[in-house]
Amino acid sequence: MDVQYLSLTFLHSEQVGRMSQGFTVKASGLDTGSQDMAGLQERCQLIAEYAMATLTAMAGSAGHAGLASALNGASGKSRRWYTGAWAAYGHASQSLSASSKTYSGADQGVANQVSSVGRDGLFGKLHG
Amino acid sequence: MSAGLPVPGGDPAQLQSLADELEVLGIETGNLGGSTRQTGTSIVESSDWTGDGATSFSGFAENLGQGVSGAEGPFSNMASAVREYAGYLTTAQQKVQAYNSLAETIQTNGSPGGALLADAENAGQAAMSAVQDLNDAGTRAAATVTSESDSLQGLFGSGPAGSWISSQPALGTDFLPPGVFGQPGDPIPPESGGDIIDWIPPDPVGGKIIDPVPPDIGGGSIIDPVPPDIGGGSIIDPVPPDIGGGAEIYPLPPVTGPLINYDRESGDEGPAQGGVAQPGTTGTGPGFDSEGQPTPDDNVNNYIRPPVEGDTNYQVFDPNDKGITITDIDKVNNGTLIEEKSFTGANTQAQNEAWVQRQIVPKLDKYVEARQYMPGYENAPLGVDLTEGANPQLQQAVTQAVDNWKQAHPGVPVTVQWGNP
Repeated sequence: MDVQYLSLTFLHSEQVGRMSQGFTVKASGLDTGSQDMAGLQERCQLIAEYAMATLTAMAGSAGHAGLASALNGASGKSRRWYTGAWAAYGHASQSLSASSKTYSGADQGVANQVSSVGRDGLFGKLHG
Repeated sequence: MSAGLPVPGGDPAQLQSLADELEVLGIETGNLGGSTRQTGTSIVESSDWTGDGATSFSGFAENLGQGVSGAEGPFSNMASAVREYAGYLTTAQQKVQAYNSLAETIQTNGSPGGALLADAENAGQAAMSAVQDLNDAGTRAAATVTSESDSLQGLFGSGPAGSWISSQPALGTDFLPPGVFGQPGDPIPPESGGDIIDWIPPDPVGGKIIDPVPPDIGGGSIIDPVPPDIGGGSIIDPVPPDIGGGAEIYPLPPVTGPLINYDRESGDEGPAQGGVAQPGTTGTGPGFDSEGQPTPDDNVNNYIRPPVEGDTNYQVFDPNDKGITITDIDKVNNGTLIEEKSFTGANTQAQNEAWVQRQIVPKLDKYVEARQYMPGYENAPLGVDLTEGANPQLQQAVTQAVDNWKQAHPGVPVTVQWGNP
């Protein structure tokens, strides 16, 4: 189905008593969100490349040993910082994608369970 | 013996331009942070996502967005510090040039008048004072750059994104020493979870090669073996062969440049010029279009790809040391490598000539040195485009200097274009 809408609030009250709280989620929305986060990650990478190149070029044009050294150091520190941010975007994107798959699978599981209840449970007894 | 003072090194115009770029990049980073927070909210809302998972994700995205936004200030402050220093550099270079011109005149005349000597003495004192101011400014700028770049590391704080980043063992290191993630064959440790180990942009700052990756490793995440003899390469962590079992590996970001196509087994020893990209290089990011083909761009370099028509501010690095910039080519136009200059100083004959000797002649030297590391443009003609300030006296000085330079460099065509006087 196009839009997988999973109401685990229903699961909480009727099926899965161990869950502490109910929640809802539209799995396809998470999948789209994963792509959005991946887009931000690419943007982060692009900015980072330019920033580091700019700082390095500054160091080459400075003509002052102390400043050149500081700018080269800043380029390295920027690289580490952008790398952390870049990885965090990737983490968010991957987590959303994984959650989307998990919830889609759970949705299918619920559908199977409901079908089983229909056959063997109250619905089956009434109509058996 | 020359009575002149050494002219302070550095390129103030380039520094000003780069400071402007850094300022813009800081703003772009700030905007990215804003987009991150907005996107995080939008994802939760559009997914009708509620519960603990939604709360957790929202907190992560909010913290990430805030941290990224926070970088705008440090980058802006670094840009301001460099801009201020560039102003001192301009002044110091001009004052030293002015003094040197007077000193040269005195030497030539042999018996100069008292007024000229007094002028020279005043100019000398002004020059030395300007050089001292410049050194002080450089020290101040260095301190600002250091403290502002240090402040980047604390921007994410102890929030969810900051904690996650801190928990990644490879992030925050300059390079990965062998063994950090185990030797080839070891299982991936649980704390790394198979995440990407490090990311090196196509324009690395002294990237270091850790280990060549065995050719039979499989696993799909390795781009190519990295030869040990090529500097500035990408860092790719060895992936153990028994990686299976559902470990997730983040896709490696696109890595452009010659290393990708390096085929060691065929006997190809890699690019002939160290890290310089060779014709046919494709890739992603700056300098390439959406299909991976080279496209004109601003501020790409010869480690990313060879130059193409329409490039601006093309950086040419030493083929064996990417930390050394030979020069930047202002414009690639009609097969010509063009240096753009504007003249804004005073225009006595001595100052015109001094300016030409400082701004034009060294640039031509650099351009001709850089050509050999610009595949396809090794024999390209050079051009000087004086966009502004081309008064008749300056034109005469430039023409004379270029003619002299051409005599010293037979076979290197140089054209000069004049802009507004």
